[in-house]
Amino acid sequence: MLQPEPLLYEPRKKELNVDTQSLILALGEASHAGRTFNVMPVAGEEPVLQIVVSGAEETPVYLTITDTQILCLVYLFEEREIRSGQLADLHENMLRLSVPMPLSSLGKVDQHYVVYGALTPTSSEAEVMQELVTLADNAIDLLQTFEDFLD
Amino acid sequence: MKKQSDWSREYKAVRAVQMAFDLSSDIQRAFRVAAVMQDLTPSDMVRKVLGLSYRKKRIRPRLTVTLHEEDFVALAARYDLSPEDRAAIRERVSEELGGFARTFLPDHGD
Repeated sequence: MLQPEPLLYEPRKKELNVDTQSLILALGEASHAGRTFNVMPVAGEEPVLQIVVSGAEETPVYLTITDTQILCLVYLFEEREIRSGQLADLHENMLRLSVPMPLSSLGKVDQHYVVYGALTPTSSEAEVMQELVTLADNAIDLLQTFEDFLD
Repeated sequence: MKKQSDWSREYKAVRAVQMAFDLSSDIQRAFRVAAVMQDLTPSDMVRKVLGLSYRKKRIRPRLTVTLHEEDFVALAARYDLSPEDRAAIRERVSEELGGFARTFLPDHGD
């Protein structure tokens, strides 16, 4: 009788989507690479969390979860803060920086320039924490990098 | 432009984040303003709203400005004085700041 061949790898279990409630609990207790998280749910139609990463208090991360992604976003500056005549140069720099920057990309929401990272909704809590720490640190680096373009 | 996929849920999520940001910015601004009006630090203002203990009056910060060489040059031009005449420049600075304070807070200008 033929025996089935042993599997060389474990089939992946069906992964569960992260939700904001479980993140509030997990982040409140956790530390990642020596960093802690201060989580504040913001009231509204869709659940949004404001997360302050220790050591990067000036760049709070906003997180929301949809069916397709976990979106983490930091607001950098507004269009009106850009020095006159510097817009094209700033955009050029932002596009060039966006590719090598680890785990984060640059974008714009209304008049706000933002840095953001998106994860799959099945990401682990550790992966979300890694994203939050990296994003908050990237935001500080970017604000310093773009200082000369801003009033 | 070619029609893009249906990202309406994602747009809604981005909008929700934007609203959360605006709300928290407004709240922070309200606390800063309220704190200044009551001579409190913003964190003491938060404690007051929550009914926690806080320092009743913070030490009133002194209003100081450090004027550098280039500042005296700029102010001399502003007041049509010589940059060397620092006493006169300081006097005009004092007058101008007093005038601003009287306009800004008419009841407390003296």
